[in-house]
Amino acid sequence: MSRTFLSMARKTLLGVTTALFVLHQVELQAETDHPNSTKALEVEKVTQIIDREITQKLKDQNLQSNPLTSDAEFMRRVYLDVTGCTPNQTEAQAFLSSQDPHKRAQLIDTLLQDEGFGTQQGRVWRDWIAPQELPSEGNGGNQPIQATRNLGKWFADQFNQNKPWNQIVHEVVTVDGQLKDKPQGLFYSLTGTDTGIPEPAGATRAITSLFLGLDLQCAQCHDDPYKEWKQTDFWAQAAFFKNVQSNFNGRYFAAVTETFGKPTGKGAKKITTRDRSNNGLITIPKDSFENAGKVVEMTYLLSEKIQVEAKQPLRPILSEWLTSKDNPYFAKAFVNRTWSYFFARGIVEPIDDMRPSNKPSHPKVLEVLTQEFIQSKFDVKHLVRLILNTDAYQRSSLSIEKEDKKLRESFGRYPVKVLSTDQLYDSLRQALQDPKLDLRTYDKKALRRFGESSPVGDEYTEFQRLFETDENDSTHFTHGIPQFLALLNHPQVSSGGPKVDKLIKAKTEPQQAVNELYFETLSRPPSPDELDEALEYIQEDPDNKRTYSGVLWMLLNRSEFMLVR
Amino acid sequence: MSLNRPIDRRELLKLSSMGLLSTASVPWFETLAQGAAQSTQKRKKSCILLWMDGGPSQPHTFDPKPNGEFKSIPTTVPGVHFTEYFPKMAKVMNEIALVRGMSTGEGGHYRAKYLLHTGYARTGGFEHPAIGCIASHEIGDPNNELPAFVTIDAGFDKGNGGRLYRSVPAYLGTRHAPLLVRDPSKGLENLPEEAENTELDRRLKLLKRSEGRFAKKVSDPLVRTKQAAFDRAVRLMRSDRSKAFNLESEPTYLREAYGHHKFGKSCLMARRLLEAGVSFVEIFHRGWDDHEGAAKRIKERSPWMDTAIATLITDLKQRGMLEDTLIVWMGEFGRSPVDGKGHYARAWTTFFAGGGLKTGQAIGKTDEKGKRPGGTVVDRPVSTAEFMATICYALGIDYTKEYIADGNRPIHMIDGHAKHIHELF
Repeated sequence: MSRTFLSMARKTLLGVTTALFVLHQVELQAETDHPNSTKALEVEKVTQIIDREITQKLKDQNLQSNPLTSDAEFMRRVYLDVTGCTPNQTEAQAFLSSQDPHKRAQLIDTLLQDEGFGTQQGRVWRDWIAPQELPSEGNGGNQPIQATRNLGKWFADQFNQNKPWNQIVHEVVTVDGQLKDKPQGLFYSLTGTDTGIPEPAGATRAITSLFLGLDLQCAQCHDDPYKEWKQTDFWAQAAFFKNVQSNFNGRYFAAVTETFGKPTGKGAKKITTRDRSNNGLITIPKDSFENAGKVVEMTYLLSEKIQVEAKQPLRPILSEWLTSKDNPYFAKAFVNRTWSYFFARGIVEPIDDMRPSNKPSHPKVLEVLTQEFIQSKFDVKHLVRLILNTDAYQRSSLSIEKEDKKLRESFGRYPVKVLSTDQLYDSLRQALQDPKLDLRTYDKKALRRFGESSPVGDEYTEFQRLFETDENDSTHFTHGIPQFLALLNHPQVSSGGPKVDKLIKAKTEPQQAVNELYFETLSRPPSPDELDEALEYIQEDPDNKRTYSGVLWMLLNRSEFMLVR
Repeated sequence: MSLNRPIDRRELLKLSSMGLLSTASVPWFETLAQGAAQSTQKRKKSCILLWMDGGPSQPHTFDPKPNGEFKSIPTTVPGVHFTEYFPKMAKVMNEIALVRGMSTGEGGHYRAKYLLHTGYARTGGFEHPAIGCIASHEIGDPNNELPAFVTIDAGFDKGNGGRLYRSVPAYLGTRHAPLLVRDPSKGLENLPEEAENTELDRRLKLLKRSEGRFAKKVSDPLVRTKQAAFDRAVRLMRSDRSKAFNLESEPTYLREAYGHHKFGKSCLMARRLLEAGVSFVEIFHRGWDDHEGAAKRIKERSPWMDTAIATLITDLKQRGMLEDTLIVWMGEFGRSPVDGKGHYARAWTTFFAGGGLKTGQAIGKTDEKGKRPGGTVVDRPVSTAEFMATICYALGIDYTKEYIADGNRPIHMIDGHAKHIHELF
């Protein structure tokens, strides 16, 4: 597709944006006229717009949306989605017994203030930037595991402080300095070469995909015949990263900077292109299918050229455009990505292909949320609050006959998702009340003869390695024999952990024990059938430690435990 | 069903004279062995892939050159030489077919690992299934309690060679994902020694009732996938075939013949897994990215590699399994001529053994000229696609087949219109 077409498409898109924004303003205006206008009402107003479009689309397809889910299911879902962990028994019972009609909205507010919110979003962004299969010191590569965790923690802090998203991204894109002070600097190493050296092409792929929702991958080597991107679009972006260089401390990435001349400092490494072109220009490297050696001028994506001084740092210039509220992709990409985190599907799908010709399934939903996000100065918690308060988020995940997939894709049904590695680890630790849960079967002292080392990480790394999930599709169940062999047989899971020890020590009666164990795992009391079966199992064996552990083991191996639904 | 052939006396004597075996071995898997004896069915083909991660050096192994860092020695095939550090393998060269003209063009570790596992260049956002997953899909036995594709980690020298490629089934389905054995000396992680366990039975019974109700209530594909995966784990635990992961029951002399290095143990486990009906075993050993020069490292590695591979070939042969078992030895590329310091994808060496192929030959040739001989293929270059097609063909897989990937996208099993290496058949 030609460049001209694209520019036109973009203009049209901006036109639509403006029109919708006006509509949105009118609706919000009507609402502020209300004498008792509050923040909550505002939320309600926005969620109504969202739910109206979703309902209309369902109607157009002759689909009937699922009813709202039960309080118990909602509670477990929102705890896992927001804080990454199931509620404990006290929290669960408090919510379930509350008679307050606004208790769902209140719970959402409470959880957004919980530290778990940042922790979970931080881990999600960590895994999007650094998928678990990247090389690490634990598997024969260079990626420092601790630095990657620090990156996740850095994001967690930003989210918990509710730092505006444009500010967070600015701090990632323009990072300059030592990794120990600025953990987000690892971004340039993770998106770099196999050995972790920053690379313009890698940074470009990551920044366009993660922050703009655009997939320019193919355009790295040739004009993309299926999309609108030309190869020069890609390299015009890459030119911003031409001067990024890094310092390594031994094998490990230690600092990132954008200065000129030869790299300085211990283990300094220049970017991999040996490019002698002027500042603001980049040469397409030799290994490209097309146009190798061609010099490309730096531009904002689909925009006019930029004049730069000879020694001017380039990333701040990029960031100014990238994180601006006028950038047609930036806010929208975050909204779509966040939506997809909850619904396991973006409003534009795939989430990093938001080019104009790939239309959103629900344009109004995307637009109203984007405008809200921009209006609120990129307030992440506000955006999440809006999403969670929709009926769409609070619908049952139960499937009804054949229309399942269509219904889910139209957001008439909440998806059934598999617990992410972190959600599973935290929920297991909570259920067993074992903060140091360790499912390793090997230790570092394993065989050290030449050529036989076993890379063994700490208990968290090894858990992640075993229970890795698909960070791009939470409805994709990837566990198989090794994961279930661990849950079936590992003594840490089958022998009840500190939780059962406490039940035994307190001489807990079987009925109460079963009740507690259900709450700590499935966040609900047992049904009469479930209670009877568990009690029957307990009565057949005088050893309560064994039987209580057995009930807990059974619960941890339940499908219901492994799922968000 | 695995067919465990009785041992041929003469073969055994030959083996003993090589110092590999001292007494007759007893089929470890009696019920299956009995089944085998009664069956006249042809044994299915299977494959052991020996993956030297990081890129092994051909001038230091199987394509020696006159001015190389190692001396060369003759093999049992006239005119074919190995380097001096592979004397045991030299004795079974008649069972080996070298491919000395590998010409694959991709010199970056991860992209090359992807290419040599899938036959396709890596493109972002689209995964191709690995050869082991393809084999699982095409020739795996779906009724076997063991997965058709098992990978074994044989350890590593040091952390080089970058990210390890892990086989992905992509659009073939999760069922064809490999089962990883992290340490062959410890067997399969979390597999209990005793299959019988009354407490576990009681717990499973308790679990089953609620799982049944849940599946009725939530009829989501994800729930069915979970329950199927869980059941597969239980069936594996209960199956006699899971003994394949335990090397303890192998006679001492045989374990010694394979060697005490994890690589040798992996080879022995691979043989047991094939006997138990597994179709594809990939053994990987990491650390072959010898930028400081390949001579020292390969000299250190060669004893265990030479011993294990020679024993594997001989052991399979004397069990009558070699005809049906394809052995493939390779890395993601070779190394630069003479010192092996650099990555080299233009001219490098792999080998096949067994599998009913025309062995005892070296296919393809690299040059002998100049100060750095071996940098160019002068006869019979083999592309990645031809190489992949050869593996498929040897396993009885129709490589011209098309798969349907996500989004109804038709995709060839093997890229383009490549043909297998006909000289091998």
